[in-house]
Amino acid sequence: MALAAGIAWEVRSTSTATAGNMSGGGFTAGASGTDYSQQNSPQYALTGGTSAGAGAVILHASAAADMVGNVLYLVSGTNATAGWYEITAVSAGVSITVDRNCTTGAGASIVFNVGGAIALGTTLDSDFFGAVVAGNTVHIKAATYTLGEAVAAGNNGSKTSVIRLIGYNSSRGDTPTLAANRPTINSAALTGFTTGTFWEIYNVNFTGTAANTFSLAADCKAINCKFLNTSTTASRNALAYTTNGYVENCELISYRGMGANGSASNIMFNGCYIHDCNIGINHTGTANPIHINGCLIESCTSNAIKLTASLTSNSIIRGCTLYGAENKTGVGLDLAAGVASVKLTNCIIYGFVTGANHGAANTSNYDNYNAFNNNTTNATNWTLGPSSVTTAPGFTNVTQVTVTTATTANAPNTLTKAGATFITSGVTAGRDYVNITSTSGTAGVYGISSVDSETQLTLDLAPGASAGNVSAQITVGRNFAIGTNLQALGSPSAFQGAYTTSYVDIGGVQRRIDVPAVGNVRSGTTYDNTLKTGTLAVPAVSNVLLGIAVDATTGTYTGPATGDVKTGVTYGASLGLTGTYNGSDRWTDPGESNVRSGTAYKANSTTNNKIGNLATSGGGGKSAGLGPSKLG
Amino acid sequence: MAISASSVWEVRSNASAGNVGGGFFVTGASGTDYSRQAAPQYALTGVTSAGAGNTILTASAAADMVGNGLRVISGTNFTTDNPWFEITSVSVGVSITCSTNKAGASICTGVGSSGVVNIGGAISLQDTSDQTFFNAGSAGNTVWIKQGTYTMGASILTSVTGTTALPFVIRGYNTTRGDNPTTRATMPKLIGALYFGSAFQYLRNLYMRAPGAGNNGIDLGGIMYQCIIENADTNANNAAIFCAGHVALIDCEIICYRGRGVVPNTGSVVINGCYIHHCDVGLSLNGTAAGVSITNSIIEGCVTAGIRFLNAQVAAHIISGNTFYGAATKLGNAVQYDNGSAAMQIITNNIFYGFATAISCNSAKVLNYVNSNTFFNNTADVSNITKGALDIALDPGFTSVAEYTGTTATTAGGVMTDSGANFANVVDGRDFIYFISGTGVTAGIYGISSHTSTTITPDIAPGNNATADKVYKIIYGHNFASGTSMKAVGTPSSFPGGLTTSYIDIGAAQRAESSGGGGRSNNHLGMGRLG
Repeated sequence: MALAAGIAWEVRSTSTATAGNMSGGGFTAGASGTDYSQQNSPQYALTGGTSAGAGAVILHASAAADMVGNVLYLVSGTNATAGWYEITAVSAGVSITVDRNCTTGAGASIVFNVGGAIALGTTLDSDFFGAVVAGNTVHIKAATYTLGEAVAAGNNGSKTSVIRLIGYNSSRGDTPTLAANRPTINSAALTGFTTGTFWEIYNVNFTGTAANTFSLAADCKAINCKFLNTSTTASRNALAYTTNGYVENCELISYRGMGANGSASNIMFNGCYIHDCNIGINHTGTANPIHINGCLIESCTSNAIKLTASLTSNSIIRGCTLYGAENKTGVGLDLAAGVASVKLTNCIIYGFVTGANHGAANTSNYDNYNAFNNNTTNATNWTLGPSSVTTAPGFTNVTQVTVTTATTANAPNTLTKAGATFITSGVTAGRDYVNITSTSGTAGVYGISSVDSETQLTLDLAPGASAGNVSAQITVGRNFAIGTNLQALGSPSAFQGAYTTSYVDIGGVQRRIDVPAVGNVRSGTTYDNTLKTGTLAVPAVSNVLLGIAVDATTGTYTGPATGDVKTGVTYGASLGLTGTYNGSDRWTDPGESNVRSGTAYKANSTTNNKIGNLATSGGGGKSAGLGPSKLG
Repeated sequence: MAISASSVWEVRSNASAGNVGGGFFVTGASGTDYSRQAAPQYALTGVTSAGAGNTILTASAAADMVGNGLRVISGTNFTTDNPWFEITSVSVGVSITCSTNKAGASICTGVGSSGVVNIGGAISLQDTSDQTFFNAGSAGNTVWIKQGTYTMGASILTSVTGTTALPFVIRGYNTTRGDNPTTRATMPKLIGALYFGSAFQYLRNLYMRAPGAGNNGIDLGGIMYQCIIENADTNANNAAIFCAGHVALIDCEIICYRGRGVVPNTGSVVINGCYIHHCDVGLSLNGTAAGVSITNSIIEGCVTAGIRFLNAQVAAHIISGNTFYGAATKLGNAVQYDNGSAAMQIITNNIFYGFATAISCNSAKVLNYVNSNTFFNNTADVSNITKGALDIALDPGFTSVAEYTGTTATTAGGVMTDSGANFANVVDGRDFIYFISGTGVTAGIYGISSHTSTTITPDIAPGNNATADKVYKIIYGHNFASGTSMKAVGTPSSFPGGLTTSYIDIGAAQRAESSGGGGRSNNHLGMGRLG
């Protein structure tokens, strides 16, 4: 036998495993025992095991039924072979049977651990990943793991039984999308991490400085990962790829080299963010196509995408945003002379010395529905399609900080520029990168560890000491959402047959669609592709005050003048008017002397304010009448 | 020298019959372009030559002839096998000097006499010399075909091979060159078995229909853009498009009544923005194709499968941002694997609606990447395939797609009658009827030529039988724009780093931004914008 395909492994930085990895680390899904892999320490740390001879049975009085399905790590023992074994059966208090022979003869003093997570960080790291077999899943909890040795995974998955490496934050399956919440495997200067074929990597960061931080073997996927190469040596890769690979929603950075590099056929990048490299994607293959879809590739010194060999199949670059720099840098799409039949559609190519360059005159490529803007030269040996435009994409928030005559220093690693406004300009530590463009100082990309002041940055690598002659630039903001200029300018638009129309924006980022609620749309108006009908009652123009905008016109209703409204009455709420009409056109004050004595009456007032004083004599006397009844 | 690379050919349905026109003019030549007229400008007889070579003698020789195509009709020692030559120079009133022809032969093989030649005038097609005509050009040539109906007089297999720098272009137009027609009524219609089988051939704005018993509608090496390819043959397993090499199909409509819409062979194939419908299988892969990308396309009403992987695939393929529609009452599979050991396939951002099984695999297959799709109104969403965490099961809310079905129709005189039906929404020439079963009818897809409220007249006689047991369905509407349920649920969404967020709809059709955020949905650039 061998390790079961159904084993799920656990890697935790808090593991107390002896020498990092000497825990069982795995459990077989559905086994009858208890999963002891998802804990820091082994459930059983046993010594004194024996065996009757060569075979797969260890004799031990601590053998217990709950061990079944767990992986044990055999540490040492006479005639014992170290390694990870699955416990397939137990005779309680007597013996433990594992998946394959673990002793080469009569065993004695066997030391083994059952359960407990793997810690990594030892010279057993490659051994551990090499022990993983097709069908297994390795769960890695968020933390930083510095490898104790380069990992060259020994086992391959298969088309029907892949090997999965899945990072998580606090509980399995929580799919952390921020790099800070994912596990990071740091290979430092080691050779890096290489998978077998048919592996799938989810939610893990890989960082290092070797020739390849991470090498994706054939038929593998990398999804929601980050690959970082911080080497200051040229042409090192964050990700190296091979045939039939798929890379989705990954972030790739390589300070002096390539974000992704390979020669394989049918490599596919989808929704990736590749930035601050010398070359974003460097493809050297000559056989079958490379597909780059929906990616953001920005701030790469030399090229966003480069095809270096005679690749003549249908390579596709579609719906991507290629951004150089506000002051132009490098080539967006750079094709060697022998390349043919590249399909470039729905892409933004912005901020390059040359947007698209072909090494020789070539009409076999297909360019259409792209936006070339802010390039010194849009195209060389490349013909823009009739529906390609040169409109500014109107990025939501992408700007550039550029400094000249700056000073760099080592230990601490700083870049200083008097008069700079790093803080005000939005330079953000841990997110933004400095690209030293001058030959003074060491040219290349640096991470920003801290923004110390408006005039000083601390870099993650030593830039070299150079006083007053360093030029550098920083892309800040990095929100490549677009304005309305490129809205619905992409392809397809009206489908052949014209029964369906699509509205695709150019670039890697589709705009947000805000559809108003029915209560905000005029009653009876169908919208949202006729799926909705508005319910908002819009007043007629005759019911809206003259001059006030309503329903694409202005109201015609003329309200009363203040003189026509009772004095003291406020009206026209937004206008804040108060009536002044006092009825004086309808009455005259008879004068108190003309009003019967003692009779209270109103005179230019809403309450009685006067009393008549006309003396009356005898009966039948009749005073003058009171004021107009209109007064209220 | 051979015919110039910058020659531009003209095909018109009203041209003098028999492909007798000179047919082309060399861009920039000193003469007058007489190719863009129905009849030859010069129809010369009695032409002679002093001997073998490129010069012929005629008193009619005129300076305005230079750059025009010359078509040899007949004559002693005149070359008639490949009869088109370019006039490279003229001695006025004396002689005409020509290029060699496509085969490298001179116009005269000996002392010529009684020569009959035409200069200028468009090509008519619809002649047994059609095959010769399509092979007369060379890399860099453009053939313009004016709107009209052209029934090929021969099966066409072009051998003109373009180059990366000099493609061979065949392009349709309606009334003026470059007007880029996109409808059946305005495109030139080429009827017959057409095999554009050489590399770097670019076809554009053509309506190609293969109604006969031909096997494959089109062989192609190059790019096909804004074309309609319709194989109405009733034999099974034909193809509308057989892809010989690296091929791109962009913004095309593809129909194959009983066979396969697109058959990639050994090359890589790009299919984008296409409308593939009413086939038995929309896209059929035999396993040798080198990387197929099918994106942003609508695949509708295919009887067996939208995409079928017949064998183990040697390459990974991408199926992304498409709308797969079977039928409201379910029809076939959207994606079907006959061999589970195929290489990894990427299936994202698609709508799967109305299938017996949306993604079907004959054996357990975990390698595929299936995510950010919607599955709705399928009898089974998947078989032996695992859906992704971001797959959903929401109704896409198509703007206008519905169907008529019936089980008791009869056929007589090539007309189907269903007395209980009301085919009010059927559109002739646009909709199709799928006969599922019934006594005396041949099951399969047919175009609809005409209809009444209770009758359908297919474009091909389905068989006549009075038994009221004909089972059929007709999809109409065909507007696959989606509702808000698909809004911004596709991938990518938030890019790594969290600094940029994209809002992609699932399915082939991205929604219009009808308001908010400065929407201007009516200002999009449609196909008509192409120059």
